[in-house]
Amino acid sequence: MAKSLKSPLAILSSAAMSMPALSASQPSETLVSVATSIYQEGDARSDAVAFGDQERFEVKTNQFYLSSPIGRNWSGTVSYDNEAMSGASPWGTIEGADGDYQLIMSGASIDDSRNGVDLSLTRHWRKQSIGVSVGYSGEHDYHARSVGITYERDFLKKNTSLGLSASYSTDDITPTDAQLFQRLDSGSKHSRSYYVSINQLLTPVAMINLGLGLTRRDGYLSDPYKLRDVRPGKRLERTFTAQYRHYFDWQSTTLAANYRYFWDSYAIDAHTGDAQLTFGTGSRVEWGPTLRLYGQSAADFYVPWDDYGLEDTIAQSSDHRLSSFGAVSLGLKARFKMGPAHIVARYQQYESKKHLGLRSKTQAHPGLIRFKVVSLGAEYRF
Amino acid sequence: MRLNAYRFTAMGTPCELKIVGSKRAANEIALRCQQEAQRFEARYSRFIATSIVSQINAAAGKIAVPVDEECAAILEYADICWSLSDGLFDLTSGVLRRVWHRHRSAVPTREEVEACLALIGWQKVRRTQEGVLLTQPGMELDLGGVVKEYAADAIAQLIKDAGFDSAVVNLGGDIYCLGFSPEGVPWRIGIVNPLAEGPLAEAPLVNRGVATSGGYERYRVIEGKRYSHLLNPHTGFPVKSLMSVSVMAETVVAAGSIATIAMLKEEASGLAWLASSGSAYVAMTQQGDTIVGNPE
Repeated sequence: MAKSLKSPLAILSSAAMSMPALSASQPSETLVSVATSIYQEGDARSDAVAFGDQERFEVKTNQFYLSSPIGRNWSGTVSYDNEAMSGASPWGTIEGADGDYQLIMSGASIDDSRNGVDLSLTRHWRKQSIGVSVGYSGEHDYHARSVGITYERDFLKKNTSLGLSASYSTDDITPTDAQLFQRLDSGSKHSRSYYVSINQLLTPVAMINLGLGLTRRDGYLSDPYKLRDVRPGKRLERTFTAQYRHYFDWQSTTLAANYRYFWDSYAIDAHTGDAQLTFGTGSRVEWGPTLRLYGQSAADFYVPWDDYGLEDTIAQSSDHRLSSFGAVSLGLKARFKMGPAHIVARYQQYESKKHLGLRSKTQAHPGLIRFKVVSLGAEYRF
Repeated sequence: MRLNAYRFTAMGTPCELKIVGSKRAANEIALRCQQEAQRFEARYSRFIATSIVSQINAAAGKIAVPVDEECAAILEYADICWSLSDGLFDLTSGVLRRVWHRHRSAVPTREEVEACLALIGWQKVRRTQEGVLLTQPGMELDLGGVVKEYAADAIAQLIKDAGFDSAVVNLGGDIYCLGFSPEGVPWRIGIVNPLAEGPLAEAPLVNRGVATSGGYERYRVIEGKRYSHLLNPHTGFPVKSLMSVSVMAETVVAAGSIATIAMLKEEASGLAWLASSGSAYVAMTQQGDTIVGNPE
């Protein structure tokens, strides 16, 4: 979505950049950004917890990002992020005395950190580019490595562009206290993803992007920290995405509206719609609200409470993320520009609800979360 | 590092290059820049019979003239300017010069102006695979409002591609500043004061362009009254616009079109356009007030 829609300046600048003398699609400036954020889940209700801690997850994240042209035809990006996680997570669910489902939580002993690094290198030609990327993410019990390739091509005077990408990742997990809790010693999974998208400038102030994605995962896909969690060892995920951008003269407003449909071999259907308004686009202060709505159906092996009577080869999971639920999140974002330096502040609050889910038959999962995210970042361009 | 300066004339305007680097390398690139400016003139001037613009104009109402990628891109860019300006930025509006020329001793009559207006309209320009067709005989295309600015960007890109990182390209007031000056500070470009000696303001520029549009430079006095050379393509009459506008942007061509569109609007709406454009600008009103907006 590089050719986003903004002020007349931005529209004309991007139009100018597609003229032959200036049309190297390589980034023309170096961008450095740092950001810090806090993600805080609301505590579980006391009546929803049968055992364990009510305090849920908190994640503190620090991010660094650098993107820069390299020579005349290349560009590269480096990103690094560090997350510190603490709190308790659901181990499972049981049926309470009054027929309600209750959570069995871990003690608030989870205290982990994750470090991730991603590198990409892109070669640009006049109308096309090819990029390769590698990534690594590691926690003390989890290591993931990925490689990817992307191809982009502009058509019809850059009014249309096609994007293709493919990636492969392999994740290894070695759960802690495996012997103590009879967890799996180690497991691994492999994912292959393919994505195709088409971007079309409709008018100078409107753009649409349509995409189709396919991901195949196989290997150990269960959650080893749950008391009983057995998921099918193969998962096929499909997504359809539509993104629309429109610039309005009124208050220099940009509307970004997105829709995503997800359906997978676990029988989960999910719809996501979100909209973001940005006022004062191109001016020194840009700000605006965001609204996001989400709804999904349950996986076909979802169980409201863990059934220890079933053989441990039969698929079942009481993970709230596999239940039928929906969510609403509201946010505010502001960007303050001081020449080449920008400060970006974001706030988001999210609440998941059972009644917003699709084809819901069971009771609300007691583990459905609400959270808040506050983030602050700085960017510098030169 | 040495500052090498060059002057030449192209596109009917004095041009100046300042290139920081060794004299030999700078001489070589300056020559290429001059040739490039002359190529733009030969290709897009409506006064040169062999230019693509003259060919399109000569074929008006008859046949489509094939154009190359560069010309198509310039027309595509002009199309975006036309949409953004609600039709004020119109490359076919040059025919109004037939009735608003400088030797005119009386204000044109309504009939004269309306005869011209019938030949104006970007929507009457058909751009297809076969080429560009002005659909009515007598229509005229004038790329003057885009090509000089675009040439300044293209020449700056030539200098940059040759490995220089400090230079100023000035094509008749359409200026691009590449990198920092030899002193290591931003290049400082004076913005013309239409009412007095000395600059109105100084713009510090690094990898940016500035373009100025002003009704003060070229105007006609008819029956003792001053008329701007900027003509509204909808009414066919001169615009009571700002006195002058200078716009700073990443490219000279974007700066130039934002400034031109501002000058094609009435004073108040010109100022509103500038304020919402997202670009840094310096404008002077007819009363002589200076307004600086969106400073960087």
